[in-house]
Amino acid sequence: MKILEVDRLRKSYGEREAVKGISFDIEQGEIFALIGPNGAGKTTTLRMIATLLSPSGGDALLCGESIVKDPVHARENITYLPDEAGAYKNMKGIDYLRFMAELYADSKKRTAEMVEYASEVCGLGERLNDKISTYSKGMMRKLLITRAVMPAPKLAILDEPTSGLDVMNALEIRDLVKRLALGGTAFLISSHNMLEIEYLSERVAIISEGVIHDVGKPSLLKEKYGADNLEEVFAKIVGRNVWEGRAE
Amino acid sequence: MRKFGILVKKELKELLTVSSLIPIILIMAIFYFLGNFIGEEIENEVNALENIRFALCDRDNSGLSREVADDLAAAGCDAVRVGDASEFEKDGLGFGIEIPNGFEQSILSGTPAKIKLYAGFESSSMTSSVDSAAMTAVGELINAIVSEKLMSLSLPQSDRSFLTNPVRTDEYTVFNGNVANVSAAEVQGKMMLQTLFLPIVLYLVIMLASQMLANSVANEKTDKTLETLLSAPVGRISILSAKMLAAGIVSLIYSVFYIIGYSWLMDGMYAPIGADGGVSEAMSILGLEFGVGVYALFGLQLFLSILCALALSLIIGILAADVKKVQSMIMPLMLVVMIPYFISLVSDILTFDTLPKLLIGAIPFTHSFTAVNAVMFGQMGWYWAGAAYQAVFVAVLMVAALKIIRSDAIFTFGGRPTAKKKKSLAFCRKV
Repeated sequence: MKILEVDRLRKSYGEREAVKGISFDIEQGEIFALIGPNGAGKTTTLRMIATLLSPSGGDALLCGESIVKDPVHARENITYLPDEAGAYKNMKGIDYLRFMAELYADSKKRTAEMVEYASEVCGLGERLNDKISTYSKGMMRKLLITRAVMPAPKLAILDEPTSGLDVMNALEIRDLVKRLALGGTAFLISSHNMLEIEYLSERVAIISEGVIHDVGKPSLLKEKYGADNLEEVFAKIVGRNVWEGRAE
Repeated sequence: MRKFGILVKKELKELLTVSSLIPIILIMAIFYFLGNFIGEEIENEVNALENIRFALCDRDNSGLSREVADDLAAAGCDAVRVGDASEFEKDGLGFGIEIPNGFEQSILSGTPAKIKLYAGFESSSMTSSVDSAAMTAVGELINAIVSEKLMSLSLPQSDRSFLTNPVRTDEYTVFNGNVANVSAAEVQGKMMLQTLFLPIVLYLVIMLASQMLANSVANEKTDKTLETLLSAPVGRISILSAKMLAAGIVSLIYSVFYIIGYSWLMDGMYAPIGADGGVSEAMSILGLEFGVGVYALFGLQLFLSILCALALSLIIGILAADVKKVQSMIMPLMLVVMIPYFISLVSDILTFDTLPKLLIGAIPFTHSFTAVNAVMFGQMGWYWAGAAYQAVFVAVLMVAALKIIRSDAIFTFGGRPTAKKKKSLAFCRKV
């Protein structure tokens, strides 16, 4: 079942076109990655799907319903974790989870369920009762990812989910994402870390200069481009694209 | 030393930016404008003093009183004969002087005579005491005229102090047809004491509310929590309103504390004085009491000004890239509040000519600085027009803030100006 269908989505900032009519779709429980160099249009795409930016053209359908036409409704089924996101530092971890749960839940019971689930999943234990200002970067990221999946969204958008984390914390977060995907949540992930993408995602889209150049399973892409790993695929596609751009 | 120079140069480059210089230039411009404006006001008042006309009621109708009137006219005073000096305002005159029955008789018997001086009370500002000063000057002139006449009579047995001060004055204040036996200067002094700190409280509360809200919005950006909040299933108007309401509540709590502190200050100042020589009683007769109604109407204006400041700060907070930018962006707001603040400290805006009054009235905060005087001096039209103007101002800014937060400007503002950004910049300049 398709959770997200992106159809010729475009975004212009004045005369500059950041995203040039991209299309892709994501299945339920799928981890889909968007990879590309800096300024490729990844964050703009994620922000459009998260309803933070209004597209200049095209549409994105969440379970068949346009997020452009009804962004408030779409937000009930989408959660977004921005790159380098933060939390309210004066709050305790548990209070932050409760505050966010209250924004998504329609009853106290549902809020309690969400908070209970998040408390179990995040692995912060007693530290949830400490102020967020005392958290390490890894703890903060776990808290935020838990926040993003806590409402059991149909689609969770994670921009650079493990950026700046050490190996152990990054591994824990990747495992968490995989487990949650098995539970039915679809993930749209953006990352510079090709190893992470190869480990996590079932399909990847390679984006550069606002255009998706290829979409497919990492194994098939490697085969198609005669590459040993996704980094090589990426370099070949983006490198070629850059070269073509210069040749023009 | 060379490296130190490099460091200083780098620091200066960071500190001396266009955005940091603009507020300083604006402050200079505002002080220049205020200096000239207040100077003109004082000059107008002084000119008015030179051409002052007053009412003279001669109840004694004696040879001496007629001579006094003639000498006043000879000295260039424009005294208009009336039947009741306390009703001088009806004839559009500056003040009233009454020479009572028995004036000449008292002087000739060697007893100081009393004349009654009636001054109107129009405002509690510093520059509004000109009529009262003119009245005192005329009273002194009458004393000098009579003293000179006594001296010319060469009365050997007369007391020297009587010869130099044969005329005493008994001052009355007239307000809204009520007359109280107290000098206008005393009433003005007490009113100034009562209202002196209100503009300071107002200024502090407006600044506090603005800083609080703008920082709150900018902090969401700095702490990277804004995107998370905006991607949650909650309307943007709810986010804005919640921030405004919370900042408004905290500001009101602060206002209450300030006002309580202010009343303690007043009580503390009056405690050692005890009875104030009947000034409070006289103010009650004149209808110039600071009752609950005055405080309530001032409170309403304070609330509206806080809302105006909050609506402006909301836009500043949305457009500022971070808390540091908020500080420089909020500076013009502080300067705008300073204009009516300074003017109200030295002058009464309500007595200005229509054009300058409207120009200063266009600053929404002005109406809170003029609120007490407007209520006390019966200019309720100005008060309610100001309140309505502030309400419209808040509504327009809220719509603008909502448009901005619903647009991409909240994420794109502050970068390289593209055509669209230029458009939104132009929009922001408008608001």
